[in-house]
Amino acid sequence: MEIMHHLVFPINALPSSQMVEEGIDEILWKADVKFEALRRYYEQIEADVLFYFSDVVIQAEAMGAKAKYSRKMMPAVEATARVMSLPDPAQVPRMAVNANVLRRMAGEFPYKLRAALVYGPFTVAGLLAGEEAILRKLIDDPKEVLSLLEKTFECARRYALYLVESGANLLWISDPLAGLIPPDQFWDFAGNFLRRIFELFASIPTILHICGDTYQIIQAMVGTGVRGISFDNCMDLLAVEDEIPKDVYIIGNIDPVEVIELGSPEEIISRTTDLVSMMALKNNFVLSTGCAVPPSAPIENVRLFLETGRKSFADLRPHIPLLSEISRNVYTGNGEETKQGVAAALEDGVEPLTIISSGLTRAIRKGSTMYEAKSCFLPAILLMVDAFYKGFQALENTLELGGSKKSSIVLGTVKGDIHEIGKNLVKIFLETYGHRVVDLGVDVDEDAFIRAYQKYHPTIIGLSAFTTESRKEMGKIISAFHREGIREVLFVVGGAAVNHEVSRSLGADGYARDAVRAVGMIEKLLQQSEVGV
Amino acid sequence: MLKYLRVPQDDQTMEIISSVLEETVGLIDIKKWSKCVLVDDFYELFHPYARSSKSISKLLGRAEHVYLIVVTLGEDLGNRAKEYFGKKEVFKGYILDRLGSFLVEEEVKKIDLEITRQCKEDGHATTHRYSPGYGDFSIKAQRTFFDLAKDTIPGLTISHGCLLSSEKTVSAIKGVIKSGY
Repeated sequence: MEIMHHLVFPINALPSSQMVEEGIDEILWKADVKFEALRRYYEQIEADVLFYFSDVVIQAEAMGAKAKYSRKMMPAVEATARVMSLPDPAQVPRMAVNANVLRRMAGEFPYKLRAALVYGPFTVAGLLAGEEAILRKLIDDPKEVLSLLEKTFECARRYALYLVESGANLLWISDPLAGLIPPDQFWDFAGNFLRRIFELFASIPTILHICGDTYQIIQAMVGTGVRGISFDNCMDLLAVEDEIPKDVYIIGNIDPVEVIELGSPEEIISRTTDLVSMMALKNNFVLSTGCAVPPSAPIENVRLFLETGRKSFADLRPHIPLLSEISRNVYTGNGEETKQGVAAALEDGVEPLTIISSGLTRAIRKGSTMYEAKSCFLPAILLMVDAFYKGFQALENTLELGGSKKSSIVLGTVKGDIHEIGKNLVKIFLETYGHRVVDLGVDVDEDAFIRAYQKYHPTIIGLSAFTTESRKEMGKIISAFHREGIREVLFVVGGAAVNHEVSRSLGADGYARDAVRAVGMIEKLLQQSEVGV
Repeated sequence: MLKYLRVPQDDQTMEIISSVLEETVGLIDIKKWSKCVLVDDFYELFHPYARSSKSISKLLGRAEHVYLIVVTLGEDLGNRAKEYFGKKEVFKGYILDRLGSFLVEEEVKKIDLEITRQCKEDGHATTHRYSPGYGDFSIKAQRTFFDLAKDTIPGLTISHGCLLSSEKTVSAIKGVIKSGY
C-alpha cells in the first residue's frame, strides 16, 4: 500500500510538447523527439508518476482505424476500421516508439513510477466501430460487441505487456468511453475485460481511469481488482471515499482545464490546498488531476500544482491521526469528543486554521455531500453542526478569524415575512464553511438591504420568503438595487415560496431548495464569479 | 414524527430528543378559538379575499356554514428554539421548531375531527380544512382571523405582512354541508 502513499502527479504528459520545436504529429512518431520532450518536461516538474505522452487512438489505429494528425492537436480517428487486425505491438511503429521511450525513461528516471498508459477494450472498440454504433449495438447485437471486445482486449493485453517489458512499472488503463455504458451493463462490456487485464499485472500497481460521473459503477470498478481508481474532476471524492476499500488508492481530481490550464496561480494554490486538506486524511489518497492535462497548459501551472500539493501533504502529515479523529467525531455528532480532540490538536501544535479545514469543516462537507446523495438526512447534519461548534468554541480564543474568513454574505427574510428557521440554518452552514454572515433578521425591507450592502459590501445577498405574498418583495428588493445602480452583488433566493422558476423570474443569480444545498450553490457561485476566491 | 424527520436512532441522539420533549411540555401554552358562521357571513367577514378565491368558491360551493379555527402554542417554544440557534445548539433548536409545527397541527387536527364527528352526528357532511395562504386564498385573510380571535387569545399579534404570531399559530376554515344537498 505504501508505494503510492500521498504521491502527486498530473495525468499524462501532454504539455511536454511545449519543450521541443516539433509538433505533436512529429513527437508521436519519433522516439528521440518524444524522449527529449519528456526528459525536459520531467526535469522541470517533480511528478511522482511519469507518462510517455500517450494518445487515445494508438490501439485503434494499430487495429485498422485511420487516424489524422496535426501539429498542435492530439490525433483523432478519421475513419473507423474497414478491416480489423490484431497487431504485434513491436511491429507497430508508434507502439515501438513508446516502448523505446519507456526504456530510456527507465534509465533516466530509475526510481520513479513509469506508467504504461493503455486504453480500455471498450474505448478502443468504440474508436474502431464508431462510438454511437457500439453503444447502439449493446442493445441490438451484444454478441457482436463481445466478439469485438475479445479482440480489443487481446490488443490491450499485448500492448500493456510490451510496455511493461520495456520499462513501465505501473499499468494505467484509461477507458473513457466505458463511462457511457449503462451501469447494469458495465460489468459485462467493460468491467470483466478490465478485470482480466489487471489480473495479469498483479505484481505492479494498476490504475483505472474512467471519465465522467462514475458514482453508479464504483463497486464494479473496485471489482476489477485494480489497485487505484482515478476519478474525473466532476466527482466529489468525499462522496466516494467510503465506497473504496482501504487498499485501493483514491486518485484525483483537480480540474485539468479550469484550474491547471486556465486558472490563476491563486486559484491553483487554493483549489489544490483545499483538495489535499479534505482528502489527505485518507491514507489511500493520491493527488492528481481529474483527466489529462491539455498540451497547451502552462508548465509553471503544472509545477505550481505539484509544489502546492506536496507542501500541503507535508504540512498535514504529522497531524493526520488527530485531524482524522476530530473529523470523525464531528461526523458522528460527538460534541464533547470533538472539543477534546481540538484541545489535543492545539496542544500538539496544529494550526487552528488546519484544525478547522481538515478536521471540523471536512466533516460538515462530507455530511453535505452525503445529504446531496440522499445517504444522510438533515437532523444528522445538524448534530454534526453542533459538534462543529463545540470544537470551534475551543478554538475561538486562539486565532483572529476576522482576516481569514471568506467573502461576506448578507441574509434576511424579506419584508412581510417572519419565518426564519431556514434562513438561520443557511447562516449557520455558511459559517461552518468559513464565510462571514451578516443576518438582518426577519421582515427586512429594501432600504435595510441597501444600507447593509453599503456597510458590509457583501458579495452575495440571500433573500428568504415563506409566503407567496412576501416573495413579491424579493423582486422589489432586486429592482431597488438595480435602480440604485448596484449590480456588483449576487442575489440568491430560497424559502418555501420559491423554486427555480420563481428564482429565474425574479432575476436572482441562484436558488437552492434547502439550507444544505444553499451552501453548495453559494460556494459554486463564488467560484464562478471569482469574487470570493 | 422522529421517523418522518429521519432522526438518527442512536442512544446519544435519543437522549437529546428526550430532553427536548420534556422541555417542550413546559413551553407550550395551547390556546384555541373557533366559531361557526353562516356561509354568507363568512364571505362578508373575509371580503374581498374569500369571494376572489376560486379555491374557496369550490370548497364552500355546497356549504351552508363555515367553521373558523385559530390555534396557537404561544411564544415560549419559538423563543426557546431561537435561543438554541443563537447558542449554536442547532439540533435542539430544529427539533423544538419541528415539534412546535407538529403539535400545533395536531391540535388543529383534533378540532377538525371533533367538528367532523359532531356534524356527522347531526347528519351533516364537512369539507376539508383550508387555510389562508393555500392556493389563491390570500394570506391577508389572516387579518380577519386576528380581529375575531384576539380577545380570546391574548398575546396573538399580526405582522404588516399578515402573518400571525407566535409563529406556531394556525388559522383555518372548514365548511359544513347540510344533508339533502
